[in-house]
Amino acid sequence: MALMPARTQKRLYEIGSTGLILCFAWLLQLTLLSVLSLKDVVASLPLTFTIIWGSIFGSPLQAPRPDELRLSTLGQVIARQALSGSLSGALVGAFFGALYASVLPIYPVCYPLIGWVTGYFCLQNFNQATFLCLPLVFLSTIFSESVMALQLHLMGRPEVLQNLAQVALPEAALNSLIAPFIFFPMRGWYHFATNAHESNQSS
Amino acid sequence: MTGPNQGRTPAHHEATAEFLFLLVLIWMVAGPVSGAVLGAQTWITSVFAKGAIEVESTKNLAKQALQASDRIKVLETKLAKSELELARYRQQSRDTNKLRALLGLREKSDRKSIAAEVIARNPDNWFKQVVIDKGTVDGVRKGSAVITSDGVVGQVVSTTNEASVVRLLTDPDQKIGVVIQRIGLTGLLSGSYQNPAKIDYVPVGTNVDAGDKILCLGKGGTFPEHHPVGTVSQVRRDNNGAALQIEVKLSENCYDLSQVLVLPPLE
Repeated sequence: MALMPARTQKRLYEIGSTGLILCFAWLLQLTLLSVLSLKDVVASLPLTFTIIWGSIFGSPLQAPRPDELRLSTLGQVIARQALSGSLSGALVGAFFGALYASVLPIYPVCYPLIGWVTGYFCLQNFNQATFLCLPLVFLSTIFSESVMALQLHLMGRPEVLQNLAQVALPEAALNSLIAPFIFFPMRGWYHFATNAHESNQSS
Repeated sequence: MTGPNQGRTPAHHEATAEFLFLLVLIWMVAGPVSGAVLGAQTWITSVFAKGAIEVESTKNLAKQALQASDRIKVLETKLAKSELELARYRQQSRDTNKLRALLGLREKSDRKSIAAEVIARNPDNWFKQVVIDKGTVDGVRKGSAVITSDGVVGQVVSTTNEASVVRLLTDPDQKIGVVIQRIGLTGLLSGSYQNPAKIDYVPVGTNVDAGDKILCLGKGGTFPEHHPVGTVSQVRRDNNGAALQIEVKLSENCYDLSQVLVLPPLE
């Protein structure tokens, strides 16, 4: 290990542990959560994980200051908003999307998108407010299911739009049910990681 | 006064003693006799009762034996008929095979089958798919039919070396040609998620009832011919009333699969 600088080692360690946690989440989904179903619709731990990851770790961009906002045009504000998604959330979504053995590739498109989009809700420090995590997961699940339904509809699969409500609502309810179990540990991890980072920088 | 008194007294005593003696005698004789009579009566009654029961049960036995022999006669007739029929079918199957051989068609019976185990269910809500543990190395090919002994399960839609993805009959993309056994009408069955599968565009006036068996048509060489698919659960007019729509309850419960059989399509 002496071949690499300490920083690379640390980064590799972080990426490796994240990969392990993601694999563990996938195993949990396959074994345990496939049983948790409401009207034959199962809860989706990967989706919940991606949503919460995106909303907690968020974007590396700083939140705009008020005077910055005052000076910028509408186009700049929109562009800034569009760019402030969560890159790591998108990567986590891509990881999960790649694990689905789907014949039509809707998950590799939708999961990174939802990971990126939930990063928008981090800039306003929403993740500090615990009670917001449930509606965020609920609405994001419905959004992602709509995106998937749109993709399937465009690919000419029958009966998609009729089944959207049948699939999206129970899944959103189940996902918000399991959301707190992911939210609190992940927020703790986030605080731990940022504190370690700050203490590293200060020393 | 003493004379008659003296004369009467022994006679009086004698009579009393005689009375007492008689009483004792009666008691000594009547007690055992009455006991014996009671015992004999009980014995006789029990003998009669036992006899009655035995007679009754023998009668029942005889009746049962008669009934059984009747039943045996009926069943023997049935068996003989079935054997005749079986012989006829065997003959016909031989004839068919001979004719098929003459015509250069392939024989139906020898079809390769691969036993496989379901190792995962895709944990999503849009595709009804499972993953099985056999792949191209074991001879599974894209388009192979997947069945169990209860009924048709689905079709292989993608394969790798060691595993394959099976699209279940509950998936709306999965279509299968079926025949309604009782009336011989063919149709196209399509899945509909957790709702019952449907056969669309059945002509109005078709004599189809709930409970009719739906079998696989299997003329294309992919699905096995006349393998069960399900039973009709409901018949109704479709939206514009021009045709019937049949709802089918699938005979294989696609939510709880473990062992399946993969049949690669015929060449």
